[in-house]
Amino acid sequence: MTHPFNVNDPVWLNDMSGRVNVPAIIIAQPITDSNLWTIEFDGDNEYGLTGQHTVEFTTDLTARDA
Amino acid sequence: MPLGFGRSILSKPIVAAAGAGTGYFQSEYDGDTSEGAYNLIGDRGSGNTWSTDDSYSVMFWFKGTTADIANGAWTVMRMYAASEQSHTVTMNSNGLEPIIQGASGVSVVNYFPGGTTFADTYLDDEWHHCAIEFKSGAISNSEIWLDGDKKTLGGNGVTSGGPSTNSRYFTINGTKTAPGDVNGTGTNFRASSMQIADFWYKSGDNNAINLDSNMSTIYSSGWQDLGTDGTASSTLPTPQIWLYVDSDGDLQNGGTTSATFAEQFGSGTGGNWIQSGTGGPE
Repeated sequence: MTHPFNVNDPVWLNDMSGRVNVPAIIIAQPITDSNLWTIEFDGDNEYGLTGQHTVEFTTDLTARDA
Repeated sequence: MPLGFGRSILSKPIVAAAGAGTGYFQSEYDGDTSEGAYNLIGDRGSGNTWSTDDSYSVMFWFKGTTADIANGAWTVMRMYAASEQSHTVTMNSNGLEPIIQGASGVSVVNYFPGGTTFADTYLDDEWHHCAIEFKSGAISNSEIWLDGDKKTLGGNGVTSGGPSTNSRYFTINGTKTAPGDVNGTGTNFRASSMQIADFWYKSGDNNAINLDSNMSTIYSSGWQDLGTDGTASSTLPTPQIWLYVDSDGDLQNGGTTSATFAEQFGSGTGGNWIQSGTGGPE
């Protein structure tokens, strides 16, 4: 599987719950037979999200500048 | 008649009488790239819902750049019945990802070629064709073809089952953030300003469309006329949705599921909604 992101890549999270442009960092890529990405929220966001979070859809993530 | 003239006539593609496939539809942003573009919503009417399964096939033409996907990702289509219950296709600058959120899990396949390959190849402001056969479970159950080329897929191989419930609404170009019978609730999330043409969808159809056998009918070094019913003269199964803009600039649905399609914006004034009878992938 080719992964579009590497560990420690800065990303934006735009998830299916409607949260938009939440800054995060890739903590772990999906393992075999899983599409679950682990991200950690990076700095403040308007949703009050902190800590680590699991992302199901790769398209929920887009690259951002560090 | 000069020989060259006769050849030029004979080599033109045969266009159906109603002009299927000559045009496209598109929303522009009103300046608000998170909500200010139109969804195109297929409404089955009160008391009716779309019928979905643990598989679906979808085909469409798209034209645009990464700038047209301004909301992080583009939800190409979505039947969003309840939380975590949907048929969804999303695209971003990295690639393409069909999803089924079903009764027993979330099944995902994807085409992410890495680097900037997808954006460089397919988000170059030219028309490109996408065909997807998607069945939850093993990744090998599914196929994604772009411009007639079969792609190597990733994903999770999860068996999801079909959605546990269905919505009366089917959304093309974006999704409402609130699930269910949404028609004005939630915001227009992940709507793009991409140009879209010849949108074909059928649920419960994995392998029936048989992309391996029928690709030359669907795409042959360019656009192929699938006719006003989307079957290419009964070569393909009959789709539930077959949307195209005819030569008069009118949006036509040749699919078998009765629904009214209309554009709807989430907030602000909405951008410009464009239906052009020319300029499509033909």
